Amino acid sequence: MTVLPLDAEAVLTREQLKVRAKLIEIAAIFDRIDRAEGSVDDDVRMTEIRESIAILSEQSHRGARAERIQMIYSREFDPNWQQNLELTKD
Amino acid sequence: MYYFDPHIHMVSRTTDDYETLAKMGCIGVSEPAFWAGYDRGSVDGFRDYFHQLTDFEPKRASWYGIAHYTWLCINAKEAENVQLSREVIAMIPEFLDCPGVLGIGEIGLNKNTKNEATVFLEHLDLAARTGEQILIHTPHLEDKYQGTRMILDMLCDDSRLDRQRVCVDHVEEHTAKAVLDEGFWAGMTLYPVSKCTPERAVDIVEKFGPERLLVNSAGDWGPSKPTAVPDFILEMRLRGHPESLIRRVVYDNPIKFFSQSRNFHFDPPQIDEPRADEPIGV
Repeated sequence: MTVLPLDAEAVLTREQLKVRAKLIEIAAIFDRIDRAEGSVDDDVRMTEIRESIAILSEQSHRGARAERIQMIYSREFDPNWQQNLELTKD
Repeated sequence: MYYFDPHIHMVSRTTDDYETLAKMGCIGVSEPAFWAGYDRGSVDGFRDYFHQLTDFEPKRASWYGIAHYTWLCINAKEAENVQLSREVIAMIPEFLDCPGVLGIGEIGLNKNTKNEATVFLEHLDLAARTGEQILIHTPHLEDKYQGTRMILDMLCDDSRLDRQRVCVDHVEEHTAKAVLDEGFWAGMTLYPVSKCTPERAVDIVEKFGPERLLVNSAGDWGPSKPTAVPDFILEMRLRGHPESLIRRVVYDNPIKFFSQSRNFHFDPPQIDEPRADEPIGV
């Protein structure tokens, strides 16, 4: 691991406005969905979004939040995929 | 700072882009064969494309002092047509001795299907038989994790392959570690929406260190930014990383990886940049 030249406070100072902008952007998107006709409460994509937002505030994911959110949006890996696809090398 | 873009599809870019890249410090590019946005209809279509990659693109790049290298294959999107894929794989050796051909790529998976895996294995076999280096495309978005794991399985099953001569590209937070832990090179692609942003690519360097990591723009015909590598350089500087570390990722590493190819011949420019081990710009 490479040592970060900036300490935590310096990183926060540098990133705070970006975080603010992104959070407001997400909030505005949710507002837009709310204002639109219909409901997406049961849509699997909303479930993924809710799970992702939960990860942001969970202490257990410190240092690995991006990786955890990536996995929410990933198809499962089957270790037996070669047999299941009947893949042969000839 | 001089840099290499180790993955960029210049056939899709304008000559003005070459000029811009040169002005920003790019002195070399490597261009993997890829999908044109439509399925090519015959092996002759690929032969024409390979002529373009090995003849005209190096010429166009040279107008701006940029060295151009290339990789040949039929890409994963077209691999569903196994018969055509086999015809292309049989034709590739016609070009393997051309100057600047670094190896087989970008091969890989797209939707992680049986046909894609079959064609991937046949490309691996070609590379193993001909002693070529390999550049690998990993799938997009929700298919990336699964496809990367499948690719690693197939690579690790083939004892003929030298892992130091294989780069698994488009890694992100959830795939970088597995690729590096298996001893392969890993490429990070900087895209506006999918794949990595420059900021997240710097995070990955900070997390895993610079060893066997490459960074590229994968500039192509879709939404992409051919000058993304300079964005990465700037982000590294603004975070206070030393010039020596930045240079290692964007210049030394590509040269080290490419140097394992018999067709990689590169005359480095006389580098007279400040040897700043100290950070600048913060």
